[in-house]
Amino acid sequence: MGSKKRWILLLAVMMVLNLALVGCRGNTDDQKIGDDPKDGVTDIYDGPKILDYYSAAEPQTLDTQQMYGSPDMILANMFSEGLLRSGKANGETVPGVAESFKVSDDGRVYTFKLRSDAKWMDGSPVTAEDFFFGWRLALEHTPYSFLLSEYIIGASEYENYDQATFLAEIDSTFKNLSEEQKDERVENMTEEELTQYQAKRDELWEEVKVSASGSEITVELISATPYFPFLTTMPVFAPVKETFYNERKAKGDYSLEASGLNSNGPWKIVEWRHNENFKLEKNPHYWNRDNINLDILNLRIVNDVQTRTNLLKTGQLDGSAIQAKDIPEFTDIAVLEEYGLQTMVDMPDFASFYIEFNHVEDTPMKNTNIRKAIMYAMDRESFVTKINLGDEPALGFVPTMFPGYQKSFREESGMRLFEDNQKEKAKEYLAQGLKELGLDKLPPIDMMIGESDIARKIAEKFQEDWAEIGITVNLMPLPWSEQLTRLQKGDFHLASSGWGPDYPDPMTFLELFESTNPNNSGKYSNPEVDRLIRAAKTESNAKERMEYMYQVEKLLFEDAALAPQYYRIAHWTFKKYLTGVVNKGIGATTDFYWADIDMNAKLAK
Amino acid sequence: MLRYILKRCLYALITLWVIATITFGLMKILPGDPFNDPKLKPDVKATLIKQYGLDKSIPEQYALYMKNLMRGDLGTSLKFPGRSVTKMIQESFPKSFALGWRAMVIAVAFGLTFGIIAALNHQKVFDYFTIFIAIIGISVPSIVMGPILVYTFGVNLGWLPVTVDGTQISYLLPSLTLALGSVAFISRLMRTTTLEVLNQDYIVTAKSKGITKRKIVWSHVIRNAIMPVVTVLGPLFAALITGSIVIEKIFAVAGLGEYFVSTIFLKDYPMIMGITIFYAALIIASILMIDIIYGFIDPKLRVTGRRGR
Amino acid sequence: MDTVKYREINEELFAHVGKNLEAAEAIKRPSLTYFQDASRRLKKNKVAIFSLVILSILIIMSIIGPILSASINGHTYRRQDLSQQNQTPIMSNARSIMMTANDVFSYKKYRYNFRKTKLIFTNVQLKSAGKIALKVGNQTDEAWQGDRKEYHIAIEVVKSDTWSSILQKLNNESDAILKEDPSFRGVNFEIKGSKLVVSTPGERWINKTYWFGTDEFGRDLFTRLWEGGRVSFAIAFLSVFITSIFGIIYGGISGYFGGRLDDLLMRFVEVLMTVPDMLYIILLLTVMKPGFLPIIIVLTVTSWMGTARIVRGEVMRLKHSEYVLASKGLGADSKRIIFKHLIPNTMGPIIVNMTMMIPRMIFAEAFLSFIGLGIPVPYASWGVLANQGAQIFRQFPHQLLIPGITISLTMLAFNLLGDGLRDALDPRLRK
Repeated sequence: MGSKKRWILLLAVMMVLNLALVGCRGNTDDQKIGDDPKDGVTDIYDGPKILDYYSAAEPQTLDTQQMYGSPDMILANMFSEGLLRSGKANGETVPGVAESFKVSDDGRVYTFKLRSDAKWMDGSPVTAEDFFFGWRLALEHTPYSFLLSEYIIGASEYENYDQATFLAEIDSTFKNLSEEQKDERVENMTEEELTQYQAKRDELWEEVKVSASGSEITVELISATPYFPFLTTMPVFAPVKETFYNERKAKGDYSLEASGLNSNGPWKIVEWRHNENFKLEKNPHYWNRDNINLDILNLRIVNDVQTRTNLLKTGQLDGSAIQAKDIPEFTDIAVLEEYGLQTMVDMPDFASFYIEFNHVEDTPMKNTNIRKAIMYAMDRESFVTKINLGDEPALGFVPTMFPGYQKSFREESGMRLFEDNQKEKAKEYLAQGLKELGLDKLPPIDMMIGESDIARKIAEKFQEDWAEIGITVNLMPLPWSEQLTRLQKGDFHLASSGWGPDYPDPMTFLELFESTNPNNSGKYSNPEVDRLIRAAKTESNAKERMEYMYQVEKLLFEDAALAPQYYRIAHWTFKKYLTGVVNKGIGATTDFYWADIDMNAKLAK
Repeated sequence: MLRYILKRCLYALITLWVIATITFGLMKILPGDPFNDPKLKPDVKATLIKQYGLDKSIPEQYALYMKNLMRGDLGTSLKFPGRSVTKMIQESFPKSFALGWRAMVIAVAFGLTFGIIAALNHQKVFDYFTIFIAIIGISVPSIVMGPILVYTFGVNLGWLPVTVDGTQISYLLPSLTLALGSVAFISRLMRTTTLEVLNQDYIVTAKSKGITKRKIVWSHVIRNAIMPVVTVLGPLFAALITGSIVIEKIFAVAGLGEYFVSTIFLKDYPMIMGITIFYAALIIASILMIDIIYGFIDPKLRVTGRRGR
Repeated sequence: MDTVKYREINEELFAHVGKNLEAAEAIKRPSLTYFQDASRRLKKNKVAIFSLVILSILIIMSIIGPILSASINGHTYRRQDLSQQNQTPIMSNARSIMMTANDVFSYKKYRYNFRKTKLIFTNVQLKSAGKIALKVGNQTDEAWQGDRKEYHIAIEVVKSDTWSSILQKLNNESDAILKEDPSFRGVNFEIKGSKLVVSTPGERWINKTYWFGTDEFGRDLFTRLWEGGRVSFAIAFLSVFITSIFGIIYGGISGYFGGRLDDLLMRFVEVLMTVPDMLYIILLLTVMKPGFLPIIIVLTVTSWMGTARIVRGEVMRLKHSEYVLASKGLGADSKRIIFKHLIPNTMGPIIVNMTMMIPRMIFAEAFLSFIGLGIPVPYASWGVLANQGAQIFRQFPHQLLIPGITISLTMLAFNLLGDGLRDALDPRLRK
């Protein structure tokens, strides 16, 4: 029984300690305003301004021409700079390496004037040749090479001219070979052939309508592209210094380690511990260095959202994105005050989530009325107000606030293209659809969903909406890559999908439903939609283009080609001492270019 | 003994080869390819597939892989283009290991102590206390325990760092969370085997010979009871250094676990192969070590003098 | 010495009754089979019986629980009612409090209970004159507060104010609203040491429609808990059963025959154990539709190796023991030795292993759910419920506690029962 007594004693000691701790706090009753003891002047901090932030993942690559992931682009925006920079508003540009640009009257020819003081981190100037070298690297079938090849005259021809094309030209027997023999032939090209091939490539590069004269770069486009200036802010258009590239490639660390990264942007990467952290320092040769306030950026790589929130609360991060379930907490001003945070920033990240129908397979999904029943039965409003707080119900396809002709696309084309949560209407459509199909009851439908918490929740919500009108939907959670495989094979009934934009034009969304698009997994095909998309792609009048796109989107809903779910809204909060952070929905979503830190306040905690 | 060890090492190599082959086969059965990201256009995918030699026939790929493996080259990652798998493992494994050995120490120290004391106090307070710990350890998964501990001690009370930042103290929470299940497991196993040993005739004999309780416990009970526990230590150690995926995520440890899960989902073949083979080698080595240790400490095996099969 | 009278014993006192060979061989006590004997000893173990009762209750509730709540309250495990989301077993109509403006005081920490009906600010310091404003009540909290009313309290603090005058102002403001509208129920402001405590009073009542409260979709947790019990028990029992059978056969053969066969079989197990589970899981789940059966297969495939190793180890240990050698010497064949000696004697560790495996299976299922590959929603399992609860445990602790306690209770019961069974089944303890 001795041990029992000891336990009780321990407990008692703990309780007494507790009481003592509570008891020794001073009485506040007679406190007066202005009594604050630490009212004295704090020391003036004179050291570097240090930002503590995070990267949401280890970048897949920091090769500017190869990247397509979001954390990668945020970093690229810090250490590299294209002709222009992405500005404070979505789709807006500000001068980068080019101090200004002109566009011809027909909107096809852009002339960028390079500034003379744009320098690499070693002090050498950034030249037109650096840009051209980078663009040639990009045109090697890189993920975003289409941003060059689809717009610049001659770029596509250059990109598609490969060894096989070359061999077919010089060797008439080549095209009769089998695939395997062709590969073998390509691998065993002679020195001479390779030189010839390279010469031919160089020749073709000359045909690409980009040119430099003095400090000007001229780019000639296939058709007028009002958003082309924004494209030049993207990493794929970044300059690459050839000597640096060759030197580091030979050493085998180009873009793979801090030593293999060349910087012409506001900061340079001085430390990269993989999957752990980055350290960036202000680039002393950056042309606009006087307006860059942050001297050091410490970025920890933190994958888990909850962990980021914890680090924010314990003061190890100066800001963080906030997940939906923490929104009630961070909208409470008492919480913000406790941690010294600013009011949350809400910004659509332009991801649009929707349900994809399989239009091909012989299922009820082929029937327009059944699809409409599914689309109308969904109660999106409740989902975003009760379950996944802070998002916006999607009653169109192109997300809210996404740039359109002059205002946002949604404002111009209509905020709601159909009504949310119309159970009665859905029942009518269902009855109609069943009649057309000659069925009494709809057989159970499978829906592919992602493995994330939110994917599960949203499916769970809509599953009940559909059950209410008499449609049984079974949910199939699958790993991401498996989902993609099934999507590509067309092996699904319904799929919960999402799409984020590649460039600031609604076409990045709408072309998904062009019948030839490889990402049109449901094989939706409507000749009218195809015609309008083609028309929009070749139209030079910006307003007309947009008109075509409004029509495309409306047609999609007349057909119920997809059933929209929600537009994702990202939320951020930053410490009060950190000001001027810009959040955007496209490209580098967090931008510290204009940010400043009050180090005295930061150190005072 | 040396012959035995050599034999085991040879077995280990064969096992590794079989594992590499099985994993290779499993991955080729998995439908789909690693480049089916909808953001990649068909021409980009084709280029990538060619670049990584995935358009070659399976036997060809296998032969090439084995050839490189023999030279210790695990290939380059597909998810992180250009990065060497060997180097990525070299960089991230020490972090998993740092967490794993601390958890192992906690698990063994507490597990054995709890187990022995519980058995010696059979059906007394401490026994129930151990059962209670074991229940908590078994019934609260780290997915739940981790966030609760972080929130309580890290965020709310502010006593401990919420992530591993390299300092000793920052390892406390994650290794504790990681060890919890194993503390429970070891203490329960130790308790069971100790109870079993306590019922053995030789203990009764020893008691009747008048040997002190202390000596009986130290030189007879623990020695014999620890055997089944030792057999599980190898796999357990491997499990602790490989199985910290959830914990690495919660505590932002730049370990191997995080890479592993993400690459499996993305079908990053060289990474999956590399990590699997590395883990396998690790597990085999730890089992081998335990087997050898076992040979030294098992009193029965020493008497009979044979540990051969 | 006193005289002691002995009775004379002589032959006449005895009669020859003859030999009764039958009676000599007769077994007077009822013959007990191995399992009857075990169950007799198990019955004496109060703790084990208690565990058995708990387990029976849990299993019975899993069977009848959903039926019960369906017939009394009309709930099903999947019916959602978003207006009733996140309810608790014990409800309170206290209104939530939310600060909407504060220029006046600073504090170190801000803590609140899950519905924000009590806010605590620690180390409060007055900093400047200005406004304090609060919102009391929340229209989305209708299920609790009984109405959709929201009230606003705001005061101006001037330079000469002290804490007591500020509290006075706040309480006055609250009283004024209360006078106009009694359903407001008031707000209390107090200073305790250096803490400011703001709380609202309210009545408590037991939730009669949702006995265990609801989840974030407003689904009845009582129904979901027992529905989840069905799934969890079924998955755990089935997979442990299959695993054990397979493990016993495999490990038994390997351990008993030893030699080359053992080497081969064990190497094979080693190989399988070192290939990461995730690979099998993904492989199996990509070829099958997610659901109940694939989960059992995945769990079995990834865990039978452990059992096989344990059984093999035990068999190896026992086969050289004296009684097995004796039995062998008496000419017993392999079958008899395996089934009569080795298996009963390995039962202890196997049972301990099985009891440890049931919780592991429940968790393995939960892990599958965690990575999104478990039992498909809206079906529930305890793992799913605990995972979902863990995500919002800070806001709604009961959603973690209820499945958490149930799981722990199950674990406790299984472990204690396992211990009892070990004692009962161990032939060495036979008397």
